[in-house]
Amino acid sequence: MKDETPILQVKQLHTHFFSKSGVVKAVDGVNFDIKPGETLGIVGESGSGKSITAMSIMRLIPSPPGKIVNGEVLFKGEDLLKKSEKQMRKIRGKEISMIFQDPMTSLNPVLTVEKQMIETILTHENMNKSQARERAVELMDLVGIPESRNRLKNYPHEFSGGMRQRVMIAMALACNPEVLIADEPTTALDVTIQAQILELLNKLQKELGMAIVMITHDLGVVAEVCDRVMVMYAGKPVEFTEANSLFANPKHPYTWGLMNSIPKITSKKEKLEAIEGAPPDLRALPQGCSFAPRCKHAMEQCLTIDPSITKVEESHHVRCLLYEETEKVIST
Amino acid sequence: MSAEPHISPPQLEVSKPKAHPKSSSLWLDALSRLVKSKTSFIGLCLILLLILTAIFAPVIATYDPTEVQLLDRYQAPSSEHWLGTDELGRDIFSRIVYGSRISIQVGVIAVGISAIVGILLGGIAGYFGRWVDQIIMRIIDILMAFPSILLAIALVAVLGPSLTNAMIAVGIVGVPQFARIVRSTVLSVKETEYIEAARAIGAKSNRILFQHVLPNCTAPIIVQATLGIGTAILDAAGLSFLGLGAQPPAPEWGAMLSDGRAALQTSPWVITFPGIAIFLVVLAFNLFGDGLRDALDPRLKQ
Repeated sequence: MKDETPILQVKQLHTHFFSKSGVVKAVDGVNFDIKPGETLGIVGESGSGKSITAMSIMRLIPSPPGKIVNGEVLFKGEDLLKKSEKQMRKIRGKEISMIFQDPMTSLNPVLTVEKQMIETILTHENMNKSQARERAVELMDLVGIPESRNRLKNYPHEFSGGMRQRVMIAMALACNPEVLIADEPTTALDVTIQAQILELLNKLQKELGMAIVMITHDLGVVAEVCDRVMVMYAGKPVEFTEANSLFANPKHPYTWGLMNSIPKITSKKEKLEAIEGAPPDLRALPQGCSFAPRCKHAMEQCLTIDPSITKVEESHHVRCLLYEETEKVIST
Repeated sequence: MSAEPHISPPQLEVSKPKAHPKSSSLWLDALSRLVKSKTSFIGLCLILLLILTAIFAPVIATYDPTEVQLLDRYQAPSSEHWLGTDELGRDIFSRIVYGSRISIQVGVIAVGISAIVGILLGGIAGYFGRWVDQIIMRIIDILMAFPSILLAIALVAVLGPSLTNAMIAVGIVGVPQFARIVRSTVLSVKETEYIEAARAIGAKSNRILFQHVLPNCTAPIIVQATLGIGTAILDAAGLSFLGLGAQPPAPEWGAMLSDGRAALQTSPWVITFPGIAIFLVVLAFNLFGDGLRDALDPRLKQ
């Protein structure tokens, strides 16, 4: 499965927001690709551009003020950024679907779950209402909601958070998408439910063979489900590698920081090592490396030279001057 | 049978998955809170009374509301004519009873016009934003710049005086309130995550607007409609008082006020009772509307 050609390729994606106080470069040169059946993690702090990357792929950036200024999003070889709104509507929810962070707010409170699921199905599939209802029951069973037929008639507020996220997943899977974008699907859930949902996603991926883009700030989630990981900082990818290799051998100082700020159960006394400072203002990025002002390993040239992403090992790419000395320096 | 040792299986109440508790929806919640509030309950009772009066008008009325009996002009209230008679000897009680039909009709139709036009305009303006919003809302601003009764008079002057035209005029005058309320609600609803989710499944814009956004605006719309009925009845009565609404001999309350004003000094009952009727009905809708607003406001939930 995994050595097929990528189903989704993002190349040099730049999404900027044009506000009165300046241009916010929310996504600034993101590249990645994902193969069918693979799970790619996108990790970063709040405001690092993870969600905007996802919204850019779906072409759901509110415009104005947002605009995808450059790049390509190739889905099965076709550039989504060149499609018309009408063509995009046919892709959204059918071939690429999305689940959101907060299941409490991502279902319409005044419609029954049945209505919302049937709407999704009928939007894309050539079915009549009763067929769509059967399909909805099937999907509810698939995501493990008990008493699916009765539960369909309920309103969202009659479900618990975990169950609602299952409903969201069921809706996202309604048309057998080939890519599922999960935007922090477990962040709003408590830990036991988180594990259940991740397990469910893993199981469904094996059954249906879709590719998952897992957006998260939780390295635990990455360890659990991802095959490859992209770490983002200030709109740029800073490290891109296999999940195993990221945990075994993290290269970028920012990734070190992320790892150090996870509380460890074995070392109780140690103070957590937070990354000093705050993410930079995306309207006025520092010259040189965006992370340099917070970086413990920053060198003098880090403040002037913006490193480009460099291959340090087989399938391990890093954007940092610490490694560029071994390779050739490409100034951008 | 009884000789056998009767071993009953342990009566463990296997908790059968209960049918899910009846959905205590927003509306049921609101209704229970509504009934608890005394003022809105009074309003509700008065409104029910009005509706029943309108339905059973032929049963309740003691006389034909348009029957002229010149010999019985300006009779004071008595056991024969409970609320007296007017300058043509018509029974005021019966006229008020039949007038409730006109009032309900005016209230519902005028508010219906305001609501349909206002919801459409406000919904489109709020959802699509930008220049669409600018154009629609500037027109609404212009409408709002006129005092409402003046605008209604002007419209009736153009359309010609009749009850139907009065209803249309009052309906148009009420459009801005609806449009503004719907627009502001749409603005907040369209930023919610479930609207984004609807877009992410590939739903079309107008489908999102009508299926997802507007149903989430029902609470403020219903409140505005209830309050609007009171205002519409008052405005229509005002037009009829000026001779621009219901035409004689229709038993319209505003027209009755107008008919009786010449005899205000000598026969005050001719003008008093229709006045009280208008007052009570408008009060009822206002009390009920206020109660409804409080009941639907989740911040006031205990």
